[in-house]
Amino acid sequence: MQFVSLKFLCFLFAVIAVNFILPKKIRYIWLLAASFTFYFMASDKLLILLVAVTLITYLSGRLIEKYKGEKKAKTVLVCSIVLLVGILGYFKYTGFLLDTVKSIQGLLKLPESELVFDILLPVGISFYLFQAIGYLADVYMGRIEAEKNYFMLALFISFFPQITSGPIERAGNMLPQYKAPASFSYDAMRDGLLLMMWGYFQKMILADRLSVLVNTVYASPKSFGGTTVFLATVFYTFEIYCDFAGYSNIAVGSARIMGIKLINNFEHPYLTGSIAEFWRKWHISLSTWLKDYIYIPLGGNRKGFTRKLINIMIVFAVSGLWHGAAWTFVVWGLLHGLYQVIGILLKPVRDKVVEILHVDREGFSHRLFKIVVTFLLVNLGWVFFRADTFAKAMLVIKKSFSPTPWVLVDGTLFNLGLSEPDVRLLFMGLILLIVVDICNAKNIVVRDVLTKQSLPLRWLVYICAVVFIVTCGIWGPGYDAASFIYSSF
Amino acid sequence: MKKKIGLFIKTAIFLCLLGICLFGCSLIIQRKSSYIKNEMYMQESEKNNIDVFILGSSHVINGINPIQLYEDTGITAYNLGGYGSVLLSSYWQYRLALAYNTPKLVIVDAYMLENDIRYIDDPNANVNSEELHLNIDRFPLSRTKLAAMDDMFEHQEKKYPFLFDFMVYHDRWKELEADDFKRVTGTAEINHLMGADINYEVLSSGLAYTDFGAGTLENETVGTTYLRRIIEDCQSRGIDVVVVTVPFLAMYENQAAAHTAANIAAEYGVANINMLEIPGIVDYDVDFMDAGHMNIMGATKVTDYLGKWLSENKDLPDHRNEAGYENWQKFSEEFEAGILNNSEGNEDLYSQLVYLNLTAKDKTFAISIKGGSKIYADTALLKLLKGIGATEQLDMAAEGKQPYFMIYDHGNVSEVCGIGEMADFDTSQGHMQYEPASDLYRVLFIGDDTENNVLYSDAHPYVDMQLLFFDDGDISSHQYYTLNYLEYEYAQE
Repeated sequence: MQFVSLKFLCFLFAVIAVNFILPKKIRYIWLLAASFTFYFMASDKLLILLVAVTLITYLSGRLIEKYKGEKKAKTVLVCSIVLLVGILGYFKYTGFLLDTVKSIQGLLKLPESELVFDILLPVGISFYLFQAIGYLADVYMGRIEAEKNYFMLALFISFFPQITSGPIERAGNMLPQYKAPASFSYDAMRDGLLLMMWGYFQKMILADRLSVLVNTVYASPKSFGGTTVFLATVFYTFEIYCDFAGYSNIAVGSARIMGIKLINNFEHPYLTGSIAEFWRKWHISLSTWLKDYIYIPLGGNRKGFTRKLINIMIVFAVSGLWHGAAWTFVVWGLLHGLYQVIGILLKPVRDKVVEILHVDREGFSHRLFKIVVTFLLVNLGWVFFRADTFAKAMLVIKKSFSPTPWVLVDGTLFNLGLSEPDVRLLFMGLILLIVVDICNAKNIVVRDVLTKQSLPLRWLVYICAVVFIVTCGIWGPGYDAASFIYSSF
Repeated sequence: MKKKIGLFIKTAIFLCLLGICLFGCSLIIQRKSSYIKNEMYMQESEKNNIDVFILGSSHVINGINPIQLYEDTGITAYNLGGYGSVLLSSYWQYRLALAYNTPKLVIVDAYMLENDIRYIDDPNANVNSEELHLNIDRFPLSRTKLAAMDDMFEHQEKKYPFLFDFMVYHDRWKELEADDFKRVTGTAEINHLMGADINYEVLSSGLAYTDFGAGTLENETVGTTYLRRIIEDCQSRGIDVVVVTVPFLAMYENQAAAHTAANIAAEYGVANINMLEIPGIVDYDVDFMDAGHMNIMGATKVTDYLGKWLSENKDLPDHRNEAGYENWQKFSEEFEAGILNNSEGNEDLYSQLVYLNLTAKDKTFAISIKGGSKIYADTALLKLLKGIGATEQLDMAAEGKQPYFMIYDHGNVSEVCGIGEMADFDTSQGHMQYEPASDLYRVLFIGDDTENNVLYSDAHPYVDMQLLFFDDGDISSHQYYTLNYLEYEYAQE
């Protein structure tokens, strides 16, 4: 069951309706049943794996607490993490490892292994396993107590709005909300629905249109002019944002209607002035998870300057590998690590230049310059994220430096798989997206502004927005709703 | 509590408004083909005005004209035929229509009776989804429609676009035109031929009907099953049935299917008209637009035959000049007027001659064919000229490849064949003089003007055929047709 489907909306509103009818004490059981049903509909038999993970996590958590302060607790933690990472490794990285071994054998001209694995990747495995690992680490570090109610913990790991693509939540935030469910709130419902609507706009109006343009160019970059290829990467930069932020908004909005607050996963990431800031605004739940459970345990910045830089590189390599089982993802992660390392190393030089040129660090032009540079660096990274192979990524980068600006006016953009009205609608939508993000960056929440308007105006906007998304959104027969990019991670 | 009730009412009003807007939007966005074809059915069925359902495929859409049937006999029929319809879809078309109007008689065409594919979404069924949308989109969601989809489709996900067509049509936002918005105001143009779609083209490839001496179908098929269901359902409701097979260039299996249809009809004691085997109804040279579909000439003949048969064999009321049936009279006049309006200036020579076959009596025109023209080898064209009124003079011209001239004046035909002396004609448009000096050079003077030979033009010296329409004593349209290999090139002055 995909978020962009009538089936999901029916399911969601049925779950919400029953949820608020039931007594608060047993709502978590209903939500767990709904979550397992949702996962079963998405992954069929692989629900067993999810249940197994919840059991492993539950038992490990209880044991860690039982042996608190003893060495055994660490042993249990390590064993359970190894087991959970092993599960992730088996399902996600077996094929990748095998391909790597084969490549090495090929390079060394050794006879290639004939082993072939065709392992189905369970939906959301990277997300729910990270959540489980985070829970165990929190219990071990004493941040929370081990959950004694299995069903409650199972709900934390498998809560349906977030299971397929996050946000990767913390037990400390979620378990109290399940234990003391909020009452129905009209304001929360409205806020959740508006968030969902914005998510559907990002996904159905923007991301799915952008994907057509991107797929056309990336299928054969050598057939297109340099500027077209460069634009395709810029389009992908927006596509992945709209796709993932769209998903997150639908997930966060769905939960909010139920009175459950999930972490906000994105905060106008393309309006940031540095790569470090970008990672504080992009996929926030993963970034903070990596910081709390990998970077800090590795020593963070407490073990010296060199170690700090190494830790950064390790964290970003893990981040890359988490995103996908391919070397292009690792390169993407390492590139972001490298950006940060270089940024740190060059900081004195940058400060000196700013001082010599008397640049006003708070000035609009300096801020804009930093945003553009950061955007372009992120853009470069996405090339490796999107390209199927390293060679294709290099080709895209190379072509991007051969400008063919006339494609902006000769109608080329209308021949990349989208009709002219679609392209025009897309550009108008992107302008709206940027305006809303600028508002967010200035702490103006458009939803809040809307809710302060008079009822007729508010309703007019709501109705127009729904009619617009339903009419102009990409959906219906032939639409592949499975194409949320992050659902494959 | 008051606050809660207030919120509930507010939410309900908001949802109603949203629903109304989405519904309005769905009407605007919807592809209008089904609305255009079936809207008049919905309007007339409100008055229970339709006495006859005509079911079948595109063969009946193109081959039976309810407006002509009304004009000739006063019988009110609606053509519910669907493009690509097999008996399975015809059955459900009948059921959907039945929810709005109960007819006295159902005419069902047995074409595709041999079809043995159970589900429409079977790739082998080769059914174009757009064609099915044309048939059923206009019928609102109902239990019957749900049952129809369940029965016609094997896969659940394939049913949804037919149950909720907005799924398919929402993407039409980029191709909206003024007529799309008129759907909401109810002023959009709709089919006024009561479901029929009449064509004016002619297949001129000289195909001939062959009797293959076929027997009957060897086994029961999905087609026969659903023909039986239609008959059984009609009989259970006291509705009379006539099984027909309208003319087309039937192959062996089609002919066997027609024989099987006759057997099934006999089994249930209902009438069967196999027009494939009734000689003289249609002329395969000029009455078809392709091997399967009749043009207006064929449709006129088939409808005429059917009308006479129904008048003689069935006790159906004559609604001509009856109150409540004004639309039928109006559309009938509209149909005639439409043909008259389109009867000049047709680029396609065959269509032009088809129009003249239908409207000649209201016009004055001249036809001139050059000597030696390859037109004379075109059987369809010669038959169409004969249909207008050409006589053995044309045969003689064709035989000798001589110049041919015809002047047609509101039913009076005058012809000249060959090269020879000047001929004078007194017509309702004035005096005319024709002199064929040679195969190529012919002279036609209009009235007192003996300076201008209207049959000669520097721009078109070698045309095969010229067609001149007269109005108010002058030429209203001068059309030139030149045979270039297998096609006629067109020019007009």
